[in-house]
Amino acid sequence: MANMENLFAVCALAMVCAVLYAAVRRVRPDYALAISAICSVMILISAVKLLTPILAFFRNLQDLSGLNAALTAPVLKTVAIGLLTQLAVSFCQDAGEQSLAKSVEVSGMLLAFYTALPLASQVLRLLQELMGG
Amino acid sequence: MEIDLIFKIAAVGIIVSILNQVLERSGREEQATMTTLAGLVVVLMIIVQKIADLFALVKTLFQF
Repeated sequence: MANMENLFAVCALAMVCAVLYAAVRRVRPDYALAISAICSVMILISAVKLLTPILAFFRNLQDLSGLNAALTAPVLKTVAIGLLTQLAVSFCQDAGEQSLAKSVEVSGMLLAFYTALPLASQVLRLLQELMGG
Repeated sequence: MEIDLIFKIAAVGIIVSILNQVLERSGREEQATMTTLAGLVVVLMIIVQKIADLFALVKTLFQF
């Protein structure tokens, strides 16, 4: 039941944060943004901690299927990049910085593609071998 | 979860805004600006530490 308690804590934290955000926003909008930022970081930390058993299951699957770790590592890294990029993009959008959000989004997308590049090149090599050239 | 961090930030915001009002009413605009900046730096330090925690956690979990 640890995950149910986690969910309750996350919901309570988000509601408290929303009330505090509304209270502080009129007086100081910069501090309101800080409150929302730290609240989302804390919620994300508690959510990411739950990933440990999921990742252990993923590794177990990987061992059972006999897949090389070099093949699955880019997938995990891309997930992490997506998670962090989404967080940064939401921060920037909350602060009203659309251009900053777009640049972070583009850089995250390029980084994810760069991480997945070894996989793509291996697929290409496999296709070349299959087509005999 | 360290919920006290959120209250800490809200408290710093309220204290800074009160100090800001007092200093502005007494005609010390520069000091009011400096107080706001100092409060913001304190809050940013708290946030940056937490963000660093998150990044370290993601790094260890996803084996970067």
